[in-house]
Amino acid sequence: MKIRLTCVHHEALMIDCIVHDVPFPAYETFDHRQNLPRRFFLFFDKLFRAGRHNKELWSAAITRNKGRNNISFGTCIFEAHVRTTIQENYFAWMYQALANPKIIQILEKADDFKTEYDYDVLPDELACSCPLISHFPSSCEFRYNTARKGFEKVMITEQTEMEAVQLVQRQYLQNIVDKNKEKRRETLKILRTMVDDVRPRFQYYNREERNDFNLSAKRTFKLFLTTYKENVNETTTPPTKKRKKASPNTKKCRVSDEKLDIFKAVQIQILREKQSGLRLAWEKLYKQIVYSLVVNNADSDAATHKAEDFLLELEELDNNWRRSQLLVNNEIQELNDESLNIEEERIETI
Amino acid sequence: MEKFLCAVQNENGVENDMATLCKWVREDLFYVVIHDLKIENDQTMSEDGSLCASFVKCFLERENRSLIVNADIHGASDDEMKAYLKHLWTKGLSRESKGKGNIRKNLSMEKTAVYAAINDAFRSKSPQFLLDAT
Repeated sequence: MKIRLTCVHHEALMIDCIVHDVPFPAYETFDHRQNLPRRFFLFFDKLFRAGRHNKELWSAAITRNKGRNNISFGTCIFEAHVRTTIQENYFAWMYQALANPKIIQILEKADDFKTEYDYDVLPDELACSCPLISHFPSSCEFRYNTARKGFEKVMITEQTEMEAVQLVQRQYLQNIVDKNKEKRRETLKILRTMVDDVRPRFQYYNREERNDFNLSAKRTFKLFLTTYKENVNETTTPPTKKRKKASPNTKKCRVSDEKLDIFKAVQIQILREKQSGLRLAWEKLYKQIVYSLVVNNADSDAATHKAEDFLLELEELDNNWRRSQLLVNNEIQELNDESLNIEEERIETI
Repeated sequence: MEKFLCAVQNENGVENDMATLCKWVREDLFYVVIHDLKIENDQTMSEDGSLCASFVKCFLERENRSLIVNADIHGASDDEMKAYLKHLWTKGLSRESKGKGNIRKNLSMEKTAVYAAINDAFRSKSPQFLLDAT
């Protein structure tokens, strides 16, 4: 399989994992700020940042006073919201992406897409350690010092210590995956069968069929379902009686109790992390890493010319060529029309 | 309360300030209350609730006062300004204000935007030319 380097610019996690041949991260591993800083960085830098979708705030927090500021990236409740949303939609989004050849083209069969749940022993390279996916530096590791309430850097020069940190974190990750893999593998099995079934037909779907597809993705894979629209088993029929739409003024909550419980638990966990100083320490670490990256990029952009730039230029050239080719074609067409007119006129005069 | 009464009757001014309120709801309020998940007590949204109080407090501050553009309320006393801000809040909650000026609608829209953004970062809507397999 040959992939063009332009994918390097692309940041979507699923595609990145397929392109760089690493397993897609298990969602339970996104919750461990203290014990898995490398993995948490991936969640924070890709998914949380996307959810916050405030570029100005993000860049101000990173660059103002060289990252030494008190600007927070988001509130606890918002982080809990992002985490719950990911947990809720993890398999549904996966199914929607894999089944749609327009989103993920390079898949021959669903088995080619691997998640961390599929491995009994995790491979050496993971999404969070792949430099083309995560910006977390590979030359060092970080560990949390509870007494100092801060992250300590372990450099590559302290080889044995760094290896020890990596081993502990890897073991921690493996334990989380082992704990959940049996249940998730069952879901993945159903998902893959459905993908292989739908994928060849997907491009011929009309709007109604696509809506049905999205609904079936929700029904089968969305985690928390209690509303009458979604929580329909195959054996039961959906209620035919039209229900009155809930008024926004009623005190009834639209989301399920299960989701609320999970959300509450996540929020309490994040609040504890905030009180213990872990959250602040994390934000400090994140700002430090990303700020150094911004500075390095600014330096290297001026000095070097990267391979990806060259490819982009080629692409631009290609586009220009197409555009100019189009213009040339138009001109030729015009000339042909003109000569035809002249010919017609000549015939008429004869 | 003369200024307050004039300001309330100035439809254009109120409409512009409703836009400011909605901007605040989407950019600030949403990130401290994911309202759908806290609905058990809807009192928080009411005129006497904590959210309205934060809105009033925020826009009573000197640096934010200039964001309220209704000319008829400029130079008004704190009490008048407070009453005007509460009026905006109540209007934003009322059923008549559908679409742009509605607080609940704006919270919900922001929630959808966040959902879409995470979804894109998770699986991507990549254009075809980005990936190429042979």
